[in-house]
Amino acid sequence: MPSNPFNAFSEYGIGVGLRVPHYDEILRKKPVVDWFELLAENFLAEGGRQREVLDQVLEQYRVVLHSVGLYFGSAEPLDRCHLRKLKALVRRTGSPWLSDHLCWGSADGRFSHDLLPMPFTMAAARHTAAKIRQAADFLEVPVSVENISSYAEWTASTMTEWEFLSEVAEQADCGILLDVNNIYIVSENHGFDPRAYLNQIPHDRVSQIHIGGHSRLATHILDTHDQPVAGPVWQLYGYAVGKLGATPTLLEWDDRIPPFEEVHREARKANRFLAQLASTHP
Amino acid sequence: MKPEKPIASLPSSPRPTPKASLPKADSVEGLRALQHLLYSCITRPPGPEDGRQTKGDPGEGMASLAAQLIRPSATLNPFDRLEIYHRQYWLRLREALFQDFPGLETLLGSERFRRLLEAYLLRYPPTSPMLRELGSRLPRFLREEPDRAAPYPRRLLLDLARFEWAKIVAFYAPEHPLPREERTTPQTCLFLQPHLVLLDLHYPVERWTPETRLPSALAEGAPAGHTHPPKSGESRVSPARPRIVLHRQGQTVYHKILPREAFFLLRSFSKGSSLLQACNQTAEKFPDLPPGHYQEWFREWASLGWLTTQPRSRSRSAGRSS
Repeated sequence: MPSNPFNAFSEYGIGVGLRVPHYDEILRKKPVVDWFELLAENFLAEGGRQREVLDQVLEQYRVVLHSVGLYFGSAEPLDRCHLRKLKALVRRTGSPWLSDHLCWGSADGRFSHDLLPMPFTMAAARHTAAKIRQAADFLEVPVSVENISSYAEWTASTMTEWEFLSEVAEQADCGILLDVNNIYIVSENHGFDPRAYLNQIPHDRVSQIHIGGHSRLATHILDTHDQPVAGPVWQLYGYAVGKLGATPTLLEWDDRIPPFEEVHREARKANRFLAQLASTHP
Repeated sequence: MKPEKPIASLPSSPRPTPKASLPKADSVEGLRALQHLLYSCITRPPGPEDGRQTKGDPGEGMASLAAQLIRPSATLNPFDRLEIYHRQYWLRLREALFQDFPGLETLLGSERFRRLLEAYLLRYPPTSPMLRELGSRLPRFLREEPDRAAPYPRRLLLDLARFEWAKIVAFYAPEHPLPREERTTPQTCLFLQPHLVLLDLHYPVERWTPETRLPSALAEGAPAGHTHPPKSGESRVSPARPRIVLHRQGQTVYHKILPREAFFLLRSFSKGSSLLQACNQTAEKFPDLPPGHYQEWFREWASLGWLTTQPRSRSRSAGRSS
């Protein structure tokens, strides 16, 4: 499972999201990091500091692209111009796979710049899967979809989120970027057992895992990526890797970002679960 | 006062719809209708509470619509769940524009700048998946809304917006290959580098920083070198206006003030021009310009890599206006 067609049979370990406040330190000190995840839209410009940083990072590290702009679930067709830019970036970086979110975010050519939850219906699954197939065909790398955090559920939904995710992944024949923090958040916000979610998705399609921090408010949990991973999320991560096997894992820390070493140390906590896994699944 | 233009074509206050007629997402068309409806809910104008409150008074219409679209949770009713997205939309976009236009924010003050941005986003909602392109039409909006500048001169706000947007363009635009000296003749067609932006301004906004601000006389209404607005038909190359070029060297954006003759010559290359054509046009406009100036300028521009033989490609990231 760790190595499968959806992560191009790669053997990636624990990675960290590449973020602006860490650029100088990473380029200067060149810390040992297995891989970096790059927010693709930050590197589409053909010039500027981002492009120079990218070139220097590529000399030293393996990277995987994570996109936020394809909006597979929007009723509108894929943005071909955006796809062309992504493809050029895929080629430039050698990213073995590319991920984006199982969500929508645009209507009538206007963008919310947010990851909005899907109505979980069969028609929406068919439409989303068709767009993922188109994107994968065009990009010529495996594509994975990531489950998002959400704060609302549609009355129009006719299936659970994990049924919808499974349906989309099967129909698109794509990978799943499993965000364990998001599963925890939606299970708390919408009231269900997160282990039921993990039990019922197609495990052989999981290409990668995301973990991250969240903020618990009085009435709901917000996906803030601004603090260490919460204890219950680590427990759920342990449960997930127990089901999946050692899977490429990435820590997201996007706001109130501490020094790089602190972020990397937090990411490496995943090792203790992977070590336990090795002892139980030699 | 001019009548206000409509600020959004999507309904700003979605009306409650009878339950039976709500789209069901059981087809692509149904999905499209449902997404259109939700998009109009979360992008509607922020409320008087500025969306900062967790709970607001939804009014019967919005509460009813939310109840038809969204399930309640154990702790939140449908309207409050929808409100989380409404609030996030405005927070995210405002934050992005505050970062891109720090000078405008300082000049106007945060509260007034926030109101201006909300009006801007209602007229020009984001049409690009790239968040950094969000401010591309702010200069156009300020041209359309001159009254929003008061008590400052409208050109001051516009110049500052153009200057701050030009910095973003210069930072992100590509750099095309430089001309090869041995292949460059007086007939070679040359273009400006995509990261080069020429600005013909009325105010010395390049000197603006939150610390220094602008000379107080300017903020009171007297443009640099003008005691009255330019008359119709007046040359665009008038004597005392700041003419600036923004460009990128390595990872840094710089600006440089140009003499009007050099600005005119450089602008000749914005749509492509041969060296010969550009020099002839400039000599016709400024017959007394010593030939040594041309050599000096071209030597400097070559060393800075400002010219290329490759035309600019059309891009959605507008704003390379001169």
